[in-house]
Amino acid sequence: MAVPSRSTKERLLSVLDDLEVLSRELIEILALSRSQKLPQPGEDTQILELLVQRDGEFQELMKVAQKQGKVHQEMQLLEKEVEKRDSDIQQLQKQLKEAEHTLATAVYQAKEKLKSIEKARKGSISSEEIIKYAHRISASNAVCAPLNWVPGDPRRPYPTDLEMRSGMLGHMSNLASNGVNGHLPGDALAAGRLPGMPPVCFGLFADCFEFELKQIFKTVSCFPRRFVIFVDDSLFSPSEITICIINFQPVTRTTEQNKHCFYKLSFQVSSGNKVH
Amino acid sequence: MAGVMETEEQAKTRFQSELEFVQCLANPNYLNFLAQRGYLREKPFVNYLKYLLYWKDPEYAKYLKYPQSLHMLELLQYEHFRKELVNAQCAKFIDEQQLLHWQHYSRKRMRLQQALAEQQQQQQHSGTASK
Repeated sequence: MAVPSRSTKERLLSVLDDLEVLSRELIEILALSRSQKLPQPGEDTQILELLVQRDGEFQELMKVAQKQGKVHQEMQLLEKEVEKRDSDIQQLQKQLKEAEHTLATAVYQAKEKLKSIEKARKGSISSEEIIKYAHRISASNAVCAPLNWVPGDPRRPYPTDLEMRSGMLGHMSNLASNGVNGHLPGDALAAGRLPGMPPVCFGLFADCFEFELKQIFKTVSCFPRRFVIFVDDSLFSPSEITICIINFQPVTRTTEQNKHCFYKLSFQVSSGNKVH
Repeated sequence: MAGVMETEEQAKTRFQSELEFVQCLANPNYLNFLAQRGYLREKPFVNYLKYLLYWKDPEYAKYLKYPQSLHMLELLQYEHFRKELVNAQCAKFIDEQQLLHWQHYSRKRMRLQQALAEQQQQQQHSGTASK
């Protein structure tokens, strides 16, 4: 196919120009031939022939132009189709992206849930055990105050001095203290036994007025003035009881391993209205 | 490190003594006592406190009668807290807060009872008024 060097529009325009020129010449010659004889006899037929030729070219070019117009229209239609398909594809792409995002989120959340399930299962305890434990800690008033508690009641949410001393650790440390001083040797500390205890409290039972006191301090002058006393296993606060010491006799005994100092103490105890 | 194998008897004793010691940590006065005598400054003691953290596991924690001791144990891991405990005011404050929290449920119950009593009174009044 020969490459068209000039576009159809140019060719049409040039042909129109030719036609215009030729028709003008023809009209000039006709006008001239009115006034004078034809200078060249064959010129008007030449021009007419040229005119007819140019007209034919023109007609053909018009047909070509029409065809080209149709093709152009088809091209436009196809372009519109292509645009539509393009937009469809873009829509699908967006939807795909959204779906992918949703799925990724769902997978992530599912993984988190699995992790938390695993964690919960690791720390699971039977409900019965928990109830038993709850029973145990509430029954002893360790986490909830007794209903009749008033300020001045020596019961506490932690183990009190007395309870600490009457436990296993208290007994162990009392044995090791040996009446020398209240401090334990270093290895005893490392073994986890309780360090030395603050000043002493002792227990008194209502039906015995003489009892043994294990001395923690060297001298009697350190003998504490405040007492906490059990009577019939219940606790009286110091303000309710006053003690007058009547007699104080030291009695020393040695056991196999340890040396303890014992004191016999007789006294008078009054509490409130009663005198025991 | 001495790889001493302890007998079952020793293990039992150790369990009991550590159980008692951990629970004694719930007593703020005792903590103050320890702080003032400088035990909380000693590195072996601090390491011992760290070792005692095994009581947080449920299989050990179920033996604790005073669960507040675990919280105190956790706090004791921090140096700042150990330093603060030398002050008697700090121990007193902790004591007060513990007591107040201890009484939380009985206060709540009292409030509920009061509310219930008021409600009943109102009902009685409205009953008598409508007659």
